[in-house]
Amino acid sequence: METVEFVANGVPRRLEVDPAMPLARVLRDLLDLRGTKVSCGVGVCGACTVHVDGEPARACSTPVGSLRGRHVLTIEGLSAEGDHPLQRAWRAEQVPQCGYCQSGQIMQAAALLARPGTPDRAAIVEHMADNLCRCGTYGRIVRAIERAAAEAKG
Amino acid sequence: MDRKSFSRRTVLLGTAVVGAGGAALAFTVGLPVKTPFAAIRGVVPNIWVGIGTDGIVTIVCPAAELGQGASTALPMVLAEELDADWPMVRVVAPPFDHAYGNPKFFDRFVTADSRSTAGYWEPLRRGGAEARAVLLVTAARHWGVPASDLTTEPGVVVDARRGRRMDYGAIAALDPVSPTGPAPLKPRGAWRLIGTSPERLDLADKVTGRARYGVDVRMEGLRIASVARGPVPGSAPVAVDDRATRAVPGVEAVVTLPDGVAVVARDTWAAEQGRDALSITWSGGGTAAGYDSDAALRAFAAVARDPARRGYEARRTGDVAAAFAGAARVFEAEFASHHVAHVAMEPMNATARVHSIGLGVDVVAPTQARSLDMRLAARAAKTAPFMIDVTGTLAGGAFGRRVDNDASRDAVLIAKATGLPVQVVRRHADDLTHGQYRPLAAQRLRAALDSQGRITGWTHRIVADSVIARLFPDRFEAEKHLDQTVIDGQEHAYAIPSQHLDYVREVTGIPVGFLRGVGGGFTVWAIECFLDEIAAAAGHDPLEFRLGMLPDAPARRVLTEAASMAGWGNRPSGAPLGLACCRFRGARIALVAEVDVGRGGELRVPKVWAAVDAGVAVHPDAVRAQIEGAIVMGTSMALREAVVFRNGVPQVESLADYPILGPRDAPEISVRLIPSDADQPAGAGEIGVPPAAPAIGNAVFAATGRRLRQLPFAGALATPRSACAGNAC
Repeated sequence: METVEFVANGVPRRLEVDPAMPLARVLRDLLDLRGTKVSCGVGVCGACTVHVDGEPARACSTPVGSLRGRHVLTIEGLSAEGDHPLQRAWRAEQVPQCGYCQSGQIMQAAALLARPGTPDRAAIVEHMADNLCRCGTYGRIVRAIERAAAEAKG
Repeated sequence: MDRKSFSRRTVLLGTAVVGAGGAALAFTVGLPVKTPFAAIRGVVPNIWVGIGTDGIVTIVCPAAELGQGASTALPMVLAEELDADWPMVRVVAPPFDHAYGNPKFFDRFVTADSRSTAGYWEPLRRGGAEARAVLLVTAARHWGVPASDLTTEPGVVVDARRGRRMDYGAIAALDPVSPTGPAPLKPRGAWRLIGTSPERLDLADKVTGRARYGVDVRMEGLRIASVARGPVPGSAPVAVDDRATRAVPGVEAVVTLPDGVAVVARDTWAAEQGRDALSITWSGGGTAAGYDSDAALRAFAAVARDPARRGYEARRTGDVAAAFAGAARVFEAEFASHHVAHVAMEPMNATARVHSIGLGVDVVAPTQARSLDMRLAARAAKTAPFMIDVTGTLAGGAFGRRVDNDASRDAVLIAKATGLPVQVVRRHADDLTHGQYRPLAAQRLRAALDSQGRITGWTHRIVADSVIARLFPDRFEAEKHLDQTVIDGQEHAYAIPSQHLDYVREVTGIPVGFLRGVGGGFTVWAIECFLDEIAAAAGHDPLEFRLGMLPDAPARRVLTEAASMAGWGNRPSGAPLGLACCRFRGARIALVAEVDVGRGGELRVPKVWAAVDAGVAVHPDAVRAQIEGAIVMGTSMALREAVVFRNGVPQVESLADYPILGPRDAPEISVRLIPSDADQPAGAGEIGVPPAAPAIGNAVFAATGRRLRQLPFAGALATPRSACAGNAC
């Protein structure tokens, strides 16, 4: 056990924890931030995607010990009112089916939209390529990102 | 006594009657029914709906929300008949009372088989109509006018003659009046809600991380358990060394189960670390010990060719022997399909808590079948079914995997052994290595053609293990070895005068399960590819050939529509398009797939068009979403999915070994729901899966001249044609 300090959704956290514990387990089992989901557990499906210092990271494969002094953003922190342009677009396109992968999808997409410029469809697909969805909502995900990008970029 | 014949009686509770456990009790003819309306201040006209004095309309959704939209579509049906104001609707799950069971599932709580909207259509319509009737007669008495003077608009009773209105909330505060006589159902032309696509009620939580799945259940004192299982199905733990496990911080207990070893800890990480530290000697496993997928396919193919083997006869019409004896031409083909896995994104899980007094256990799980969880958990725990109370949660994907929700049995056994509330969470990879697989199958089809090129005789044998035999062996025996889920799709709609369809069950010891589309995932592939082959050899266009043999008008309409969407007749010859169609659960679908075959044989599916007749589409967007998603799943399985066994051990360790389709390779999909003559909903959740493989296979033939007779198609085209032996391509 070691002391690990990091910031989660703007709130400083100080934990006595096994530094090897994956961030996803810290979020879900210690910090009660259950919006981040664990699916494959081996970093290939993207369901657990959060932001670390603004960049997408797979929380299931990120040991909490590597986060000292860093900023973590989860789906809960993306928007206080739940109305980030992506969240509104996801609802307008009725993207989610079971919804289990969608926190990770939205967080992955949010990192893309935070960058300058407007991504074209090929860039969107490439950026989202490692976020899997067994329900098969890919077409709607792309349309929702395009919709949010159009709205956010004006 | 039919509890759902509400036309004979309406139950009024007025302000709430509180019963055991906080649930309100409703009294139908003599028998109490638990309802979820204890907290409602207002009127509860029947077991399906409560209307508060605040105007909130609380509707029961008895089906599990798996992502198919049941928690929106089912309440829409009742809300339509009630004429509720949709924004005032809230949805609750029912307590475990078979009054809420699905009539199409023998009144059990089962959400599966594309049967929820169809099964609850009647009871929800009647429940809504009767509730509306209560509001009308109550308002009528209050105003002193005949009820026939009154109408409703969403959320309000209207007395047009005298120019006054009363909203449902105000009526709910009055003493309720029971209507006499049955309540009429709305004619289709008056529907305001059914056939629209309001934002699904579960979406807001699903885009904000607030949605709570089985794996998110938390309660006071909850422990997490991870279960180690042996390498071969049927292995049991013989010797367990848990010293290293008990040294892992956070591990609290180790429980040996009949087929596994559970590590119980204070959090998931500790439980998994503890499980990985176990050292276990396993017994060799039962029947599955030597199972080899390729050997099984060869053995099953031999059974498919063996006329001396008898199985379940699904259809025998006309005179098959005469048709083949007199045939101008005979075709024959064999098809082989590997096991595939569900890969639902939420890992299998269940939470169980024993009551402090007595033998009761509460189970909370993302189950498709509360009824089956209850029965099978009770059997495992050697207690009575009524001792197990099952509450459902959202499921992060189900696809048939959570019907036999075996995690519930683990949870109940561990909770009883430790006395602690425990959540069993399987690793996602556990469902690849210890899943419930779609049965591996060998199929053989033969067709006899007359001199006019018409099919006069048709035989089709399926050889595969049976899911029903595993789960419900008594039923399997009683029905003479029928497994409808394995032979689904075999009973095609084509008008062929002499047919012999049968199924021979082979025992493998592999845990086979219900997977979206069930047998349709391989039977429709074989049928539609075989038909295509015959069409090509006999010089027919695949579309015209099918249209000429399909008396089913909606099936012809979807075929024509899908072909039109894809520009079937207008493409240059050699266009890489393939066609397939089928019926499933009262719905019809036709698909056209376009493929792209790379230089090295890489097979991609850039585009799929689908036309669907799904009967009444309560929420058309949700229906389209189901079709889109099922096509992606069917495409993924056709192209690349297989769980291959060697010596009883599945050759996959994680999702990295079982690459499901991702955004780069998913086809662009166009779905059109065609207007339907049907007056009720058909089943739409699975029908997109069966036609995907054959549409793709037929497109591959159009593009390359090669027939792929094995699923998945992966790698088949990389083999030069000359290297294929016999049946292989």
